[in-house]
Formats: sequence, structure tokens, C-alpha cells
Amino acid sequence: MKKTTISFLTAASVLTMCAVPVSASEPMDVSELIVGELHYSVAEDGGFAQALHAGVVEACENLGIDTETNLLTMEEISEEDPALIESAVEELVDSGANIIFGCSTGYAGVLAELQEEFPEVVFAQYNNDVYENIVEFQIRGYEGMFQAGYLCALMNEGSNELGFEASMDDASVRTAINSFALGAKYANPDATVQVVWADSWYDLDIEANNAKTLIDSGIKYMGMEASSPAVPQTCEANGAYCVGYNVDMEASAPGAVMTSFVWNWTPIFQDIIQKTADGTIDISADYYEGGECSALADFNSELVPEEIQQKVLEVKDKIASGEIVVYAGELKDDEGNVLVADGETMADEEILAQDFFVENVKGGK
Amino acid sequence: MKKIRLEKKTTSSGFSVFLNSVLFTGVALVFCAFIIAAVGFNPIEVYSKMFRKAFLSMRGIRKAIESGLPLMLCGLGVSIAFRMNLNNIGAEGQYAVGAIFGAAYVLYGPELPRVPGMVMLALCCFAGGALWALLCAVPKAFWGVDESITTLMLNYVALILLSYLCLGPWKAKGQNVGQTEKIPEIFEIPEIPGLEISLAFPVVTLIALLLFFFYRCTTSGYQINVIGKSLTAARYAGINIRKNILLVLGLSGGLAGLAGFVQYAAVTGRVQENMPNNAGYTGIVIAYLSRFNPIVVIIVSVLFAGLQNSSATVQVMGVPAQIATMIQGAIMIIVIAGDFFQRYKIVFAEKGGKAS
Repeated sequence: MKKTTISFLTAASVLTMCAVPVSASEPMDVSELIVGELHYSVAEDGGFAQALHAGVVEACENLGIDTETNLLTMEEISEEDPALIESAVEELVDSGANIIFGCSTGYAGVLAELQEEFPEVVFAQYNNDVYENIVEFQIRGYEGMFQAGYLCALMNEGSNELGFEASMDDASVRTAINSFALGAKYANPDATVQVVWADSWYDLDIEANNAKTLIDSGIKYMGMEASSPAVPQTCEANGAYCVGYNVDMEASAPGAVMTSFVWNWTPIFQDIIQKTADGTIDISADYYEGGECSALADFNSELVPEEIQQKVLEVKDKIASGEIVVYAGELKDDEGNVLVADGETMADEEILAQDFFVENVKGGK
Repeated sequence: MKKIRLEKKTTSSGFSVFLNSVLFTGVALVFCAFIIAAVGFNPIEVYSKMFRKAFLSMRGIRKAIESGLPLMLCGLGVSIAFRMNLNNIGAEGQYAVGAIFGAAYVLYGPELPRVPGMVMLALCCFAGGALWALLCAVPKAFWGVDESITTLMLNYVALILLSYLCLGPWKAKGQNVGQTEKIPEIFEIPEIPGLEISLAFPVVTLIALLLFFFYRCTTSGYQINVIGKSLTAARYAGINIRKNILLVLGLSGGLAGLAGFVQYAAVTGRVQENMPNNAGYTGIVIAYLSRFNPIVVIIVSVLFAGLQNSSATVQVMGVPAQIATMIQGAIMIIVIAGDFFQRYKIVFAEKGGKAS
């Protein structure tokens, strides 16, 4: 074994082109790392991209990486234009990037191909576990959404009806709706969640109209899976309340936002960046994290009484300790079919690919 | 006292058009230079890096051609309609439906050997785009319904349909991305060996050449030009307007549908939720800048695509993404505005007679 290693090394040193992927495993000082990130919109979009960008920035700051000089942010890189993605990656590599974060699902395929061209660079991608040569990361968003649904149902005293403003019909959106509904059910077994669809990832007018429709039908508390501040602002103008999404939305409607479900990417990114510097990163790794990554922002104490805050925090702890399992049996879909039998729990693959709505969701697709 | 008036130019040589475009691109670059300088960068440095990366390296040219392929076909499609004064604003939707038909063929069509299979795929995409355009051509031809409105509105219908299919029944398994499974290898358009440029590029160039000769050398091409110049004259000459509306819009939509084919089979390998990505609208600008000349459409498309790709180069220097987009927008608008001087000349004339 030793002999082959030596002969291999000799061969490598003979070849002046040292193509052995050692550079990825050579430890370096983490503060010298150059980090690149790709966004489909501007990074400060007030929603999804901003949450990821904030995670990268905070992870860099915690590790002592100067974000002025060593963080390269590429914005408005369309997911539909492989040549543009390629150009962006090449520019980042030319500028010395050691690690590149793909902050939208659509980059996955192209980055997996580019990894073969730039094996010395670590690619990390927002995605389910699909590719073997790029790091993929995802948050167990259902944990935070469960708490959001629980909070809304507790606040909604005297009524069983909650609302939910959803964007596109997609597995990740269904996850948000279902876990919100399950959380509501945990607080009140009779709680139902009425969903209205925007059929768009971002549309101020439709989102505002949908929120108004829910409010007009008598709903006072709602969750959302939408990126704009339209729902919070409509709630504020009409005396209703909601849980913000993506980032802390309290500032956009302080009279309506009780708290927000916030994607906290910092712990994941910090780990990926640190391991990249140490040379211990496994490029086939898949991060699927809950806990602190999938939590609610600070409560708006003007709106949420202290005792309810405590109850929600208790639920958070119970999820962390495993006492509450969000997708545990018996779980039925909205047509009465049993999804998970009593005493069993749902596998991660099924949680990620939700194509059902749970029993107490109304207006699913 | 002098009076200024505008006079429509009757003739303009190809060379003067070229010179005019170059001149106004220069004006646009100077305009943007001030803004780049205002945000604290050296415009010469920014420009030289942009052009070096985008147009003076083989990689840059290769990527400009790749990104330019759908723009070329949308541009060609739009120009044939515009030549006949038909405002086809619907290339975006026709592109989407072309892609939908293509994906449907790959999913449900019969298995054929490589070459016939690929031709069938291309024909399906063409048929999809053509069908979408004919939905507007028939009301236009028979009841005079304004095609600018109908083609534009059908864009939204097509895009929503595309996004429904990509996120719903056709979505690739195990991913959170709105896209279909990877295209089977037998449908993939190969690259030209050694050049790493898709074989689709010479094919699209050939289509452009064929269109060029179609306009110049065939009766149909001549009729299209006559209808475009004067509808009354065309009627007087006994040209069948109805038939030509159907033919031209169908062909126009079909070419935009082929954009879906090249993007699917040569570039992305998947049909995606937001696949046209504004190529249909950029195609309108390209057609206009090229004065509906198919050969020029190819060149302008590559230049545009290179400009779009250079946004990455600019950003890595620290220039904000918005400035990169603004440079593209400014060049577009100033060159089109400059086209005004190509179509009209300013005449200074002595004011005739006494003012009462």
C-alpha cells in the first residue's frame, strides 16, 4: 500500500501538471478563504435570497472572513441561462474563490457539471440530496412552521379557522402549509387552515388580495409562504395578524406581525466554510438541519402575551428533544387516506417530496 | 429665421445603418461611463475587461453563441412578422409552447432512431410555436382582431401552462426545481468537434440564410415585403392577404417555437419553469435593431448575449448587478433611439413666406 502511494507521488511530481486534487484537502487559515455566492435576484430582496445572503455574511463574520474583500456576491444570475451561470462561476474561480454557494435550486445541475471542471473549488448548493459531487443544504422548515401554526391557533381564541397565503404549488410550499396545519391541530384539534394561492412566487397585488379575501371571510390569524411584505401590511390595515416568512418582517408591519419564521442558514454555512478551510469537507455531504436553523424570530411582545410565548418555546424544545415528531402517525391526508400509520414516522424523502395535504387543510390543490 | 423639420429618408445603405449603430453604441457607452465613474469605478477598466472576456476569448464567444441561440430564433421569428407589419409580441409564449410540445414528444412520442427522432422533436417544437401564433393569426385574418393584443396576452397563458407542467406532472423526481427530467441522450444536439460549439449554431445560421433568400428570391417573400410597405398596394396587386397573414404568423411562431427546441436539446437539456426568460421580448429588440435582416439578427443576437454574460465579469469587479443591467438597457435604448436618425433626416430650411 505504502509503495503504491510513493510510486503514485513520484508519478505526480514527474507530471508537472499536478492534477491530483490535493488543494482541496490542504488546510488553510479560514480567514483567508474567498467565498462566492450566486443569487437569482438581488441579494437584498427582502425574502428568500436575503435570508441566504445574511447566512453567508454572518458565517463569514463569525469565522473572521472579511466580507468587504473576501466575499464575492453575484446577483441576478438567471437560473435559466447556463452560460451566464458558467460565466459567473468562472469569474469567481478566476478571482480565487475557494467555495461557491449556489443560493437557488436551479443552479444545482450546472454547478454539479462545473465541479468536474474546477475540482479544487467546493460547491455548496441549496437543494435536496441529489448530486454526489456538490455539498447540498436544506433546512427542516417544517419545525418552525409547526411552531407558527401552533402560535396562530393559540392566539385564535373562540374560532377554529386559520388562514394561509401560499405561493406556487410545490413540495416546499406544501411542506409549509402542512406543518403549519399540524401545529395548529396540536394546539386545537378542531383547527382548520384555509389556503389561498397566489400562483406566483412574488406578486404584491395578488398576495394582498388573497390576504384580504381571508380577512373578509372572517379569518383573523394567518400564516404565509410568500416573499413580499404584502400579507403583513394587508393584515395591519384590516386588523388581522400573521407570522412573517423568510426574514423578520416585524418592521414592515409592527401592528400585525407576531413573529416570523426565519431561515437561519448561519450554522450550516459556518460548518461548510470551516471544513472547506480545514480540508475535511466531504463534497457529497448533505445538510438537512432543524433546531436553531428553523426557528421563529423574537416575538412581538405588543401582540403575543407572555404565557403564549412560553408555550410556543416549550413546543420548540419538545421538537428539539424529539418529544414532538411533526410528521408522526396517525396522519391522514385531506381525502381521508392514511399517510403514516399510528406509531410510525415519515421518512425524510417523503417529507421533502410532499404531494399531499394533511387532513385539516382546506383549499389545497 | 430657420425652420427645422424632419424628413423621412427614402433610401439608406447597409453601410450607413451599420455606421449609425456603431456610433450610437459609442454614445451609449459614453453615457454609461459617467454612471460607472459616479459609482467609483474606472469605466475604461470595466469596459476593457468586459469586452476582453465576452468577445476576445474563445470561451466568451462560445458562451455568447450558446446564450444567443434562443435570441436568434426569436429574433428571426419576430422579424418575419414585422416585415409584413404584423406585430408579433408573442415570441415569448410561442417559445414556451414550442418547449412544451418538445417535452411532450420526448415523454409520450414513439421511439425513433437518432436523426429522425431529433427531426421529429424539432418539428413538434415548431408546430407548438406555430399553433400558438395561429391562435392569433386566424382571428386577425378573418375578423381583423389586433394581433398585438392577442399575441401578448397569450404569452401569459403559455407561461402559466409551462410553469404548471414543470412544477406539476412533468417535474423531475427528487428535486425542488421546476424542471423536467434530463433529455435522453439520443435527442441531444451534439457539439461541433474541437470547437465546443453546438451544432445548432450552423443550423440556425442556415435558417437565417434561407430566410434571406426567401425574402429576396421568392414570390412569397416579395409579397410579404409588399404587404409590409403598403397594404393598399398589395390589395390592388391582388395579393392574398389572408393567406399571407396565416403563413407569416405561423412561420414566425414556429421559429420562436424552435428556440424552445435548441434551448431544450442543446443548452439546458431540460424544460424549465421559466424557460423563455425574456428571450421572446429581447428578440423584438434584436429584430428591430437588425432592421429585420436575418443575417444581421444572428450577429446582433451574439453581441447581445455576450453583453448579458458580461454582467458576471462586471460584478466580480465590485460593480453592482444593477449597473450591469443598466449598461445593457442603456445600449438598447440609445441604439434604438439613434435609429431615428437613420429613418429621418433633419432639414434646416428658410421659413418660406411672411408670417401673418
